[in-house]
Amino acid sequence: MRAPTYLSEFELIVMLAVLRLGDNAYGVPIAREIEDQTKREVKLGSIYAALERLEEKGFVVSELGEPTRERGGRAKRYFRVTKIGMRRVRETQQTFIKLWQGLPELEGGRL
Amino acid sequence: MRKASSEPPKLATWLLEQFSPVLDASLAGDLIESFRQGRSSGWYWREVLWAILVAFLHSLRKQWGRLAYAVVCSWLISATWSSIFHVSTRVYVRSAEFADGAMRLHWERAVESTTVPAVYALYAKSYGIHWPWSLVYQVAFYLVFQVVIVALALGAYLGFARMLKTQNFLRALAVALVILVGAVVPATFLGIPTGDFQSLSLLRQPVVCVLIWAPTIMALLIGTWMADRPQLNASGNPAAWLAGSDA
Repeated sequence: MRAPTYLSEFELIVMLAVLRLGDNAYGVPIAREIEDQTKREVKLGSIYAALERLEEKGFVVSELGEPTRERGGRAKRYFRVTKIGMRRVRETQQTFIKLWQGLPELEGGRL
Repeated sequence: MRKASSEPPKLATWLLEQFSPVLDASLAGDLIESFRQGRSSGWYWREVLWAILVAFLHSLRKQWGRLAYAVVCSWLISATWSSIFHVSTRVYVRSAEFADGAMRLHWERAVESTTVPAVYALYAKSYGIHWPWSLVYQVAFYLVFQVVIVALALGAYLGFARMLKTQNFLRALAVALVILVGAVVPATFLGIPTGDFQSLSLLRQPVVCVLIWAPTIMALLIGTWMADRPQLNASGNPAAWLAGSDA
């Protein structure tokens, strides 16, 4: 039996950002979404590296848009979460919920 | 400060396109778009250097064979150099103690004891040249020695990988040459020995090994990485390449 492929924290954050952006999920908005939500700076190179790993695992797919002048003639690369990717995100969410339950230290929304 | 109409640093963009995989041409587009939305040149440079580092480490993770090949080749280079020149440092040290006649006799014996007398004799000519040209001669000799073997190693790699084209080879060799010159010349002036480990203490030997091997390992790693990189088409748009890939 093949061992399940786990998501790192950063991979999960990237996948959630891709899901939140829908059809507009390419590098720049993904970085902005992560920065807005996590309040920490992320490097585009790290996002691309994570997306490439996720693509290798089959959790996201990508396709190129048209090259545009404001991007120096480079095309946007749009990402989309696959069904397997969605399943993995849900499983990760369920795992977290189970681990969260019954921990009085984390109840009430206070640190 | 907003500079919507300005261009990002061209050198940084060129470096990104040379050193990161072709799929990341989209990444270059994202960086340009962000720069035109108001990011600074400093930010652009930091992103480019980080992207190159990440791309390099990513390729290493996927291709451990290249790292193993680079380590083995570097060891071979070091071992070959040591087998030819293991006598040279001792001769050099003793040169201060002997009169000219005795020194010459000792060199002749060294030429007899080396594994490749012709190469050693060529190197030993530096002892007859006045400083600083003798040092320049020795550094140049060591560099040429390394470059020749690195070129052979790169050629063999490209041959095995069925990528032996003049352009691939020259690109890999040019990068390797820059790394070797950039590392060997300062190392020489810092007094790092190049071959005779026997004269070093046991504690210093591994440190010197790493210092000597690091440039050749990096030259081979980055050289083979550069050769592996697919070519962009004339417009710099990866779409045509992608259309022909296994995607």
